Amino acid sequence: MSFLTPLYLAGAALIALPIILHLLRRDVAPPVPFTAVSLLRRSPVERSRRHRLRDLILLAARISALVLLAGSFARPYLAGAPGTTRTTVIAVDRSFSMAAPARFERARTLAREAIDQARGDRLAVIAFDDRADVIARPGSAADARAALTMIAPGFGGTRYAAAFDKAAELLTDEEHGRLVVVTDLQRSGFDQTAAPSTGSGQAVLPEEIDLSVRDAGAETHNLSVGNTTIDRRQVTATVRNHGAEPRAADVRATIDGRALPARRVTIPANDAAEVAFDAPEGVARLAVAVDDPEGYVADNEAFSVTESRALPRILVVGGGPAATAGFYLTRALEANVEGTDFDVRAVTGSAFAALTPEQLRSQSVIVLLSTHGLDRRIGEPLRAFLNAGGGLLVAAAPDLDPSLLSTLLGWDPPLVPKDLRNAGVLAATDLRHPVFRPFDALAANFGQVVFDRAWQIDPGDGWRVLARYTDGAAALTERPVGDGRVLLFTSDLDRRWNDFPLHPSFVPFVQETVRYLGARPPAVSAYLVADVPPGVQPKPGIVQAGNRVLSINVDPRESAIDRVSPLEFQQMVTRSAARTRPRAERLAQQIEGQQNYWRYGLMLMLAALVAEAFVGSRT
Amino acid sequence: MPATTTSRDLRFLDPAVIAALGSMELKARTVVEGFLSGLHRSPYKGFSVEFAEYRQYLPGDDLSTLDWKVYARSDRHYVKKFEEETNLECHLMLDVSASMAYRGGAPMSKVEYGSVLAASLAYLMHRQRDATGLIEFDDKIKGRLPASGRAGHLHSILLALEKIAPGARSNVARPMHQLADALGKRSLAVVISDLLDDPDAVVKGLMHLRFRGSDVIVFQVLDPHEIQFPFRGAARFTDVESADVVTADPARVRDGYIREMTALRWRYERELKGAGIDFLTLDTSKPLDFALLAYLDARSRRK
Repeated sequence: MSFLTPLYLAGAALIALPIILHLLRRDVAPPVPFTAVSLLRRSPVERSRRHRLRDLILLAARISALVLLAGSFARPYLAGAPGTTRTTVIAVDRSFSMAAPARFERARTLAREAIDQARGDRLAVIAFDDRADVIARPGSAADARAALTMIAPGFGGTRYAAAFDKAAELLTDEEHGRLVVVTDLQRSGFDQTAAPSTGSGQAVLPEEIDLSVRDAGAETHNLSVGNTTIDRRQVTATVRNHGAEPRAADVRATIDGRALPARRVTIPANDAAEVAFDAPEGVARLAVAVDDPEGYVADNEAFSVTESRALPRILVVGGGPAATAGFYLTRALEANVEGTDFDVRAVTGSAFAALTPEQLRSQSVIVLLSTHGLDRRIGEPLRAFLNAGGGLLVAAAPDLDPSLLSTLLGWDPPLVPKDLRNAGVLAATDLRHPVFRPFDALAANFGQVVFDRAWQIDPGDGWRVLARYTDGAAALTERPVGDGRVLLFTSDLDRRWNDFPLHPSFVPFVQETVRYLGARPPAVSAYLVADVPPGVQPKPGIVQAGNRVLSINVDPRESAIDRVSPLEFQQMVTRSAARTRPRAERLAQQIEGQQNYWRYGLMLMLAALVAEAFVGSRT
Repeated sequence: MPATTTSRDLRFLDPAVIAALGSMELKARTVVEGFLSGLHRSPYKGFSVEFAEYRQYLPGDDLSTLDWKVYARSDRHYVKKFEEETNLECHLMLDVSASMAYRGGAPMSKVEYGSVLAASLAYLMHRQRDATGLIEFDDKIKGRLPASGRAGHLHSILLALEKIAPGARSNVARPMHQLADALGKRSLAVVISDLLDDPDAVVKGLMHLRFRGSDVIVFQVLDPHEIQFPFRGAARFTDVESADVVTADPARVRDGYIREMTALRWRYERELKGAGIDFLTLDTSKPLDFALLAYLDARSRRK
């Protein structure tokens, strides 16, 4: 019997307490001189003996309880019970390359042989592809054999690192553990560019683990479909021939559930061919498949979807009748040869104030040209809109009250502009800014716009200046608010304080400004099997996840048929000697954790205390 | 009122009162005078004859000599004898073993109580002109004053009683056997002891005494604590003679102890009375009059 934390045994010294009390209790009884002690002894002596016996039982119960308490805290375990036999981990490759004809059956046979050869060892089984899962924890050969039947090839790619990490975890406390890898020895399994869900990707195994490899693979050829794209009137797919011989195969495309006529292509050895299909505009879902029954089935089909992106919704808030306020701005945003890029809507201030928070959240950008008709109630939803990532363009105008604007947006100090006459022309200060970047050299055209009147603001109040007038006053400034941003144009956009709407640079300026304010991070819709978001089954195909449509494809690296020899495999594994904790301590913890004798100790202690209470209560 | 008189006089028999008195002679006189005044004050007032003794009524006695007060108290008929010559030889045998020094819940220890009893009896005997002797014993005879009726002898007895010191452990039987042959045939032996000894041996010793011709009265003197065992809380009861220790919770052992003590007393009473020996248990917290009455009863039977 050994103890994990033997220091707690010192607590057993507490047993001295009841013993001392027991002895003291005897002394506590005062001596009383008496004459008829012989009479006292004669009949009551039996009772006294019973009393003494009761005291001894109580003493024993108390001592037992304390000893069991100290013993339990010391975490006892029987060293050398389990853990003395070696553990062999059988790691079975379940990547989709193992689904090649007859390959996985061969792998199972090899795994069974490895189990038979590890007679006397404790056996664990793990299955791995991009990640490794323990199918059977260290146990009997029968359990391991049964676990083998539960493994089947999936859709993941081979990552030996995942198997090594899991095996090292299982063999943490083994002095000479053993790992048998049953795989088709794909070279790509050593690719260190790991999927995000896996670890570092480097195949590292502690040096004390004995590694052996069982080759379940065979020379083969494989065609795979990858890199499918949807263009406006065409869908394309890249079909790759991983074999050493040219291959001819039929390629079929399915768009939005409708099959297109198959195309036969010939792909040179170790090369790829791009196959294009004519398709109507607006294809949302694409699946391209190649006939290759002899290769890996999972990579014979690839999927693609187009993200249906709604037009950014722009709300232009004017003071007077909607038809006149923001006229130039609205027209400029709607100007596009191939159709509008924005969904523009102009409202009056009072209509804007009546919008619900949900309606406000549905907007991408709000352009504020007037505060007429607004009140404080709109302030909170407007700030929430900005904090959630919305964009706000404010253009100075006769109808815009800067103090009300400051109040609505909670600016402190409030905006206190001065009236600026004959501000001059506009010059971009930061040409790298997304608003001005598309202009490049054409930004000089802003110099043709004459600004008669503008606001002069103090840029120190949290504003970043993007453009200035020739007199140095800020013309376009930016201010972040939560996840959103505010752009303040210090002059009018309705041709009252300047002639900007009449200039060619006006349209691209307002479009780029609004595009910048309404920019959102692009949504990812294409995933590999190993990286599917939570809740999505790791299986190739097109799936609906919430309100999004995702395409899931197999890892193209797994399609490669390059193999390594077992000797190369051994050489490509990095051996580490890193073991952080002393082995004996880890082993002790593991054994103690398996045995859990402390639980029984505490239960016995409870029983001793119950017995003590029972005996003590009897008079 | 006779009752009032008796009550007042009995006050002088109270051990607490007697214990507060000075000399043994004073104690003895207080006890006896109090006892006697309670017995026969009014009926005989005016008689010039000197009262000598009491004895139990026998058919043919003059009824005018009956003491009705005694009858009222003891339910026995006594007649008064006046100045009658006696030639009784009384031996007061006082146990002075260590156990007799025990004093629990009474004003006097057992040996003090026994001494006062012995002194009172000596005083009474002296008044009856009996020859009185004193024998002190524990496991052997420690001191002896031969029986004598001389005037100064009472003083010697009282003096000896005053100087008594507790001795070793008791062995009642052994001194009894030693004295059995030494005492005269018409003698009266008054044994005052707690008799906390081997009852078989004690009874044998006393019967030896009785069978040698002596009348024997045995006063078993016990402390109220020995009778009632009123202790509280666990204690180590240490025998004052043998140093034997018994640790016990009185609440647990009280009933058993009282049963044992009662059984012992019953056994003494049964076996001693069966052998013609008067036996009376005295509680050291109770007055001495019962002891004196018992003596008178025995004395009268000697006539």
